[in-house]
Amino acid sequence: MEPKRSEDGIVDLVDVILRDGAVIQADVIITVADVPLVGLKLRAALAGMDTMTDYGLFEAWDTRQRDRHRERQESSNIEQ
Amino acid sequence: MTQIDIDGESARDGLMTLVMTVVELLVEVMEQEAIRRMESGDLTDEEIERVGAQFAALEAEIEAIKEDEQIDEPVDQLRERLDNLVSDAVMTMDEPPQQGYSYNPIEDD
Repeated sequence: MEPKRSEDGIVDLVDVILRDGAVIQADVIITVADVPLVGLKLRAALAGMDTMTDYGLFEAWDTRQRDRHRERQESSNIEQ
Repeated sequence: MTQIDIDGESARDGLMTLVMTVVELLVEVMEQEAIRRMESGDLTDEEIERVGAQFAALEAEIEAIKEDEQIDEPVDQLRERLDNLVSDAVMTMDEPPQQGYSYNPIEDD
């Protein structure tokens, strides 16, 4: 890993978003001639897992996923 | 002058440059997050080892592809342009919010 020039690069931008996490909420209704046709209700959370689990989101999943890998490793070690 | 050419002879190079740039950026973002997770101390040593090795392999692979396709230079140029785009946007956001509407009545004495 070589240190890259640390200016306001695109990587830094995404990194900041992942570090702090972002929540996007939007309600969109597409209307034609005053007749609503399409509705979109959006609530999205985007964050790095570190921040995600801090907020208690995906915590159980994260633990389960990593445990599963460890179990696979152990069972394959026993077979050898 | 950087221009991504996606027609004619250089179509392959142009597309390859675009794809590799995006992949490279993604990997770098993921690396940053991996470092954060390592530092937060909830990864086991074995996990840190595994993630580190995986990223090393990924980086080597990306470098090899760029070497093969001879797109080192164009990828760097594209990245620089993307970075400048972001810097400009950030600079613009640093400025005080522009008033969308200002009204200075002319005082009649």
